[in-house]
Amino acid sequence: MKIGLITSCLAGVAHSKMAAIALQKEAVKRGYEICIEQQGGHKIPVKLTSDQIKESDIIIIAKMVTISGKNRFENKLILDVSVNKAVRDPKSILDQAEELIAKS
Amino acid sequence: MNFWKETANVFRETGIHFRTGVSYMLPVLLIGGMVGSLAVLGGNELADGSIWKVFKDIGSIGLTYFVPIMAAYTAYSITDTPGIAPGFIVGILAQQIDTGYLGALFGGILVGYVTFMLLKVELNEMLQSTWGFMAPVLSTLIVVVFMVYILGPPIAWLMGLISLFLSSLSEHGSAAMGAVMGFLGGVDYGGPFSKTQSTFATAVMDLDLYVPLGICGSIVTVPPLGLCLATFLKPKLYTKSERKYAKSSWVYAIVGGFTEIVIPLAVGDLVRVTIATALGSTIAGFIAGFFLLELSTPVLGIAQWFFYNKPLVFVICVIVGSVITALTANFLKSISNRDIAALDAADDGIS
Repeated sequence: MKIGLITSCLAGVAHSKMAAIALQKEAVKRGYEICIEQQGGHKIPVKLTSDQIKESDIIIIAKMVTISGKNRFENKLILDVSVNKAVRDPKSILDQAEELIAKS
Repeated sequence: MNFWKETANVFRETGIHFRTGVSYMLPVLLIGGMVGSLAVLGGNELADGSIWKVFKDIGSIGLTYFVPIMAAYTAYSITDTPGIAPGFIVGILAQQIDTGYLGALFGGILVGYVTFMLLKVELNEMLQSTWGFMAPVLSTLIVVVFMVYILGPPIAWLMGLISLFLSSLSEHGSAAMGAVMGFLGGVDYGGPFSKTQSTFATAVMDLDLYVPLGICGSIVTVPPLGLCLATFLKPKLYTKSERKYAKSSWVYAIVGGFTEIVIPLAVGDLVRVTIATALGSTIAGFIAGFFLLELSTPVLGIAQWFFYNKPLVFVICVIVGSVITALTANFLKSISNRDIAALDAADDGIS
């Protein structure tokens, strides 16, 4: 399974990064491929390429503030969660993602 | 038309919209505050045309326009790009009719929502192409009229009251405010409660009040520093990975200065750690409020040391708060039966 992950937080210094690390760790443990875009405040984000978006089976959005460029993910399977939950409980989010993919 | 469903969708994420506005507002406030503070170097009386005067003017631009920027990006969060222009205009209006940041928040949400709904209206093809330009104009008109005649006066009255109340606070009042802010800041590590108090602290800068920001600044690093200190005092109560994390993160907490650093040390034992950090930052906030600690620029970490009116008070707040956090955490942990050996073993299994 391939995952595209977008994280966003208020200042772009802590939560977006921690959520990215937590989910990445869990995803790697389960043997999934994951590519990450971190958004927020004070830096230029490294954006997911259109190929990465096209290839991913699911887009996980872990947000504290509205992400920019959401229209890139039209027609994709999207899982929208809060960034706090991603930091504290990455397991349940990936469980949810698996369930969503199985359903579709 | 699923009018109510769309409406519910917009307002269910109200908190996210506010935070998006704040997220884009902070850099403006930061530039204004930093550059404005540089003007202090030029002394009290600034001659026209001197570089210090220019700095001061730039600073006041930042400190004025952070409010409209917040309104603009609150609207942007709701309806994307079409929301920015109406939000900005409504934000400036909110300042002009003395409703300040509160008016700008409501105005931003309202104008974003109205623009969003107007853009959902379906017209025939010929009109549709120009509708994208007309909808923001119309929504601005609607919200402006609503703000000026209906929402504005009560908010302006309320803002006047808040301003009067906050600026007349004595040491005891400020200390109480500091304790409440400290509690909010220490209880969820950069989550909704902390952000509420930090947003409040930055927002009242619009009223030329700097004590709340001083309180906010002094409690930010208390949870991570306190917990790091706790692991150094009694390493036996912490797992191997927690100890390793604490060793590197205390420097990070001092230099970078944000509360979120504590999270990896807290998640393993959330309830006890939260009690400890809430207590520590409540006391730090109480001290900061009591001595009317002021911070003139919303920056984090080392940089903020230069902008306090009473740096010594700041240091005392941080030290007292951290020590209390550390002692409370270790006490609570020592009467619990957390099986460190088992947790270490589980960690080894993963890595």
